[in-house]
Amino acid sequence: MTQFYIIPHWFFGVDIAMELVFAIVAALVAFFSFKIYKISEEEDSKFFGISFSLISLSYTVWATMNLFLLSKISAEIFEFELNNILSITYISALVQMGLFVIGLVTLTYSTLPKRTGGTYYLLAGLSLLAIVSSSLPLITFRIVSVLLLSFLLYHYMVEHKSKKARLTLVAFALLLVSSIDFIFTIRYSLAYVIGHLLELVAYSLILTRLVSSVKKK
Amino acid sequence: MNKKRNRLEVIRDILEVIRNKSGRIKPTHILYKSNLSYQMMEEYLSELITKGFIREKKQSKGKTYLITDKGLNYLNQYRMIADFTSSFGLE
Repeated sequence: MTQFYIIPHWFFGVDIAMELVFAIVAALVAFFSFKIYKISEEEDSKFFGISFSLISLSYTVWATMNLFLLSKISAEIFEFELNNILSITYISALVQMGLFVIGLVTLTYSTLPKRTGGTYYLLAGLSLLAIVSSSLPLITFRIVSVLLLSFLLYHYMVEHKSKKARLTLVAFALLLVSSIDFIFTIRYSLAYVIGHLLELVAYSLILTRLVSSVKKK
Repeated sequence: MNKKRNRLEVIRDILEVIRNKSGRIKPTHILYKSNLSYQMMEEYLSELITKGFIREKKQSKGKTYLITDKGLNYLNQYRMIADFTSSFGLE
């Protein structure tokens, strides 16, 4: 069974703009992570860059899918087209969920004290399998995200207690709350708005931290 | 009391020691100046050679270490690297 987010009509368009903002912020984080990796050759920066690249791509796919839907809503749809639209939306949603989850898996993997390729493929494979084989993929996707974000949040709380890392910690906490909130979007339209607003605050904090760390001193 | 140095700080300290000795130094000087055990120093030097930050030169009197352009670039950009990694929990 396919589910869809329930989106308030007045929010359609605003959500696309916000998703593009999230994609840009995540892409900037990825860009500077790779830049740091190039200078320092520290593997953690490489994984962080890969992770945020995937997250950025995920938001880009989400925004493109919503833009596609917006264009179809304003046009006259014939019955034979409806099935095509639903199929395209379903596949795009799976791609978006897959990219986001693999991004989080990569981030989680980079925090592990011992890394082996097998661990990564196991984490990624199980996460993707859970989503693809689920009869409720949207809910499963959010639950998997909540689990991975909870692990990341715990890692940040225990391992990174510096003042500079606090904003990032709060950002991950907000992303976790937004993932929980998004579970309710299949029933309540307002949850979709709240989820986006929480993510907006989270990515604003990440951007603030990014700008202050890379600006010329 | 000084807090424990993280990896990036140790790498910076070793590279600074080499740079301050006109870019060439003997391992005993690194050991003395970088405040590391012999084993730790060997591990870090091996890593820095692999990353291309320093080069090892064998001479009749023993070996010396030279800092490369990549190592100097690391030192020049160190502030940004340290800020970014601590901001995003990568240290």
